[in-house]
This record gives sequence, structure tokens and C-alpha cells, in this order.
Amino acid sequence: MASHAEPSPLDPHLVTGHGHDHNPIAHVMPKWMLIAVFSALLALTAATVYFASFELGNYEVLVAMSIATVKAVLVATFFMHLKYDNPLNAAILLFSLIFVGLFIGLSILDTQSYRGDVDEWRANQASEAAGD
Amino acid sequence: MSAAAPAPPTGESGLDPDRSHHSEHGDADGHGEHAHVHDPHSPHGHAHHFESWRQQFDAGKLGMWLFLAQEVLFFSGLFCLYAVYRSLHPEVWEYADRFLSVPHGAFNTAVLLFSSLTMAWGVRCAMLGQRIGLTGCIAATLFCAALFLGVKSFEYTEKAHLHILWAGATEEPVMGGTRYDTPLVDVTDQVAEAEASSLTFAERESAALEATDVTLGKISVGCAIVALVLMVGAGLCWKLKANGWMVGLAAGVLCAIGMLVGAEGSMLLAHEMHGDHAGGEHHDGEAHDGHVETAHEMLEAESDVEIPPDGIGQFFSIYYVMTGLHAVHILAGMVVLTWLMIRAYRGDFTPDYFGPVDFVGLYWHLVDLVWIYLFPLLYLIG
Repeated sequence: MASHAEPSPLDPHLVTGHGHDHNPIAHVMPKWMLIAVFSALLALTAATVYFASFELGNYEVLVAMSIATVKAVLVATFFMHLKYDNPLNAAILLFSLIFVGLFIGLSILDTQSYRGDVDEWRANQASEAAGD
Repeated sequence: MSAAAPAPPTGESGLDPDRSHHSEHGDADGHGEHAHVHDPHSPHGHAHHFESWRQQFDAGKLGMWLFLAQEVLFFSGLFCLYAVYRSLHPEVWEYADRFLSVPHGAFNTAVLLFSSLTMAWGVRCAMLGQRIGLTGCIAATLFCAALFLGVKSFEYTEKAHLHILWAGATEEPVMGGTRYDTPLVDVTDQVAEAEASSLTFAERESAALEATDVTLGKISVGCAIVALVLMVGAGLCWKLKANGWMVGLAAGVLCAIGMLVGAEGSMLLAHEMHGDHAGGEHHDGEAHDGHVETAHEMLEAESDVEIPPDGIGQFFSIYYVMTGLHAVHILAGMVVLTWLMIRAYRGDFTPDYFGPVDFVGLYWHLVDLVWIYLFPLLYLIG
């Protein structure tokens, strides 16, 4: 980079490194990749707003969440360096997401299994109130 | 794992333009050089319990990822609340959709995505030892964070003026079995109220918008005063050569200006969206305004007939607690970014030692990730 000081010729990293975008202990994200990821994120945001203007019914949640997940994967993979990191870090994130899935999925399953009873009780309450 | 990773030779020479004293050790054997640096707080040498710079960085990063996993689980409680409540009351979501402005939410999404870009760019600058680039990137991130909060403050203020608050804030709490005893009475009350006030939704909204304009005007003046005072302070510190204080105060100036721009900008956007009702005070534009307003009224007339479903307050409880917790994370991020900006300007970070920048960056991207899900869930799906 332009602001780099004149590298010492004895420095092992600069002699054996891959040009100027080099760091001794971690991978450096190239500029074009950062800009490409940002552009993709903006485009996906526009897409999700665009799709929300249609009446998609039950698919609305599916479409919006799929786009959000693609965006999240882009941010995690590139901005958060997971692609170039120790896989352990990605594993930690994945395990936490698996537990989030279990947590929310089982809660929804439980809620839905009682739903009929609740609706019935509500209808009874309403008809009683109307009768009185 | 990280211990097993081969530690690259990390001579400190040459890579860092800001630390000329490193060149004294240029030819020294790397390990002998580190042997006399044991202070874990010193940026000049890795802490003595680590083998190498790389191991120190990997260990810190692992710790940060463990914290982020905890954050994901922490937020998941609220996402679970959202999912359960929504699956039970889908009609509330359909109704509440109209109170959230998609353009404001989309703008805020873009702002946060851009701040993620500047943060990732800052990490890149830190890795390459670019001190000024890093400071600038952190400053841009901080400004975007303040911009986000400015837009958020507009949204909260407008809702407060519309009396849209969390459950139980503006109406009697309906809980404990009494809820279904008198549902029809509740509804007729609301209908009577709506008929008595004879205000359409658009009229109430434009009245709230004018009140919001006044409130945000005061907040903007406050922000401007704070920015001016901090700017004078930063100038003084610059004269006194107190560079750390100067950068800290400059960060405060950025935050105040960001808030001001965000609040006033979203005010302008709202006027644009509502056909500029505040312009009704100008009598020359009255005929034109009247025309726009009738068109609006006709559009809103249908939705105005609709009675708010039971439990609309719970939707806004969820809205406020989710966006509020996210905003608290933004605030915490701004505090840490200010600290980072001071250290970056001071030249603490080198291509060997940039862990704090990377770790704060990871935190910032996670805050962005949470918003990536919050925006469609709250603003778009209805």
C-alpha cells in the first residue's frame, strides 16, 4: 500500500510474501472482495424490499428469511473472515445457531400443539360474553 | 489447535512505519528480542504467556467468538418470543405493518451495511499498518452508528407522538381472564372515540409528524450545541498537544453530528413520504396541499375503518424490546469504537498487534447480522 514505509530487505515476510497485501499472522481481505460483498448486500436488501411489495402469502416469510440468511452468510464468511479462519470459530457459530434452531423450533412446535385448545377456549369465552 | 499452528517468525522490523525504534532490533533474533518484553499490556511485545503474536491473536479471536456465540443465544430468546407470538396472532402483524416505515428501515439497513464495510476495511488497514486509514475507517463506522441511532430516534419519537407504545402504556392492561369478558364493549368504545374525534389516520399521522418535528428540532439543537462544545474542546486539546483527548472529543463531535443528520434526514424523508403536510402552513401552497391530502384520505379511509386487533400493544412491546436491545448494542459498540479510534490514532496497532481492531470488528458485524434479520421481520413481513 501507498502508506507503507520502505520495507526492510531483511524482513522475511516481505521477501517471501505475496506482494504488498500481506500480514504476518492473518489473511488480508482484498479491496475488491470487500466492495463486491458490500454491493451484493445492498442488492439483496433492495431485493427483499422489492419482494415485500407483492402479496406472497405464506411464502413471504420464507423469501424474506432466505434473503436475510444469504446476507448473513455473506457477512459471516467474508466480513468476519470465517472463510480464512481456523474452522473452530465457524464451528462455534454453527453450534450456537443449531441450538437457536432447536430452541425456536421446539417452542413453535409446543405452541402449535396447544393452539386448538386455546382457540376453542377463546371462542367459548367470546360466545359467553356475547350471550350475557 | 492454535498452539499447534506453526508460529511464523515475527520479527518486528520494517513492517511498521510508525515505530522507528523497532529498526534498532531489525537484525536481532526474534525470540531474544521478545525475551526482555514481559509486560502483557505493552503493545510492543506479545503477552509472556503466549508463544507468538499469532498465538495471542488466535486465542483472543477464539475468546471473541465464544462471546459472540453467547450473544447469538442471548438475542435468540427475543426471536423465540417473536416467533411464538406471531404464530399465535398473525392478524396483529398484518395490522401493525402500517406503523413501520419501510424507507427508514431500508435506509438504516444500508447505513449499517456500509458501517460493516468500513469496519472490515479498517481491519484491513490495521493488518497493513496503515494508521491514518485505520483511524478514518473507525471514524466512518462511528458516524454511521450515530446516523443509525438518529433515524431510530425519529422512529421512536414519531411513535410516541402517535401514542404507539408498549402494551399497557396507553390502555388498561387486559389480562387475567377479564380480557374476553367484554370484548364488544372495548370495540364500541374505540369506534365511538374514532367517530367523535373525526380524524382520519392520515390526519392523526400528520399531526404526530408535526409534533415529532418540534421534538426532534429540540434534540437537533441539543446535538448541535454538544457538537460545538466538543469541537471547541477538541481544538483546545489539539493546542495542548493532548492527542488522545482530542481524538476522543472528535469522536464525540462525529456522534453528535451523525445523530443530528440522521434525525433531520429521516424527518425530511417522512415529509417526502406524506406529501409534505407540514407545508400546509404556507398558504400559497394550500390548494395543492388540499388535493394531496384528499388523495391520502381516500387511501387511508379503508384502513381507518379497521379496528386495532387485541394485543397490538404486544407487537410494539416486541418491537421496542428487540430494536431497543439492538440499539443498546450499537451504543456499546460506539463506546468501544471511540476507545479504538484513540488507540489507533496514537499508533498502538501494528501488523503484529491488531487484535482489538479485529475483535471489535467481529462484534460490530454481529450487531449488523442481528439487524439483517430484524429489518425484514419487523418492517417487511405483514
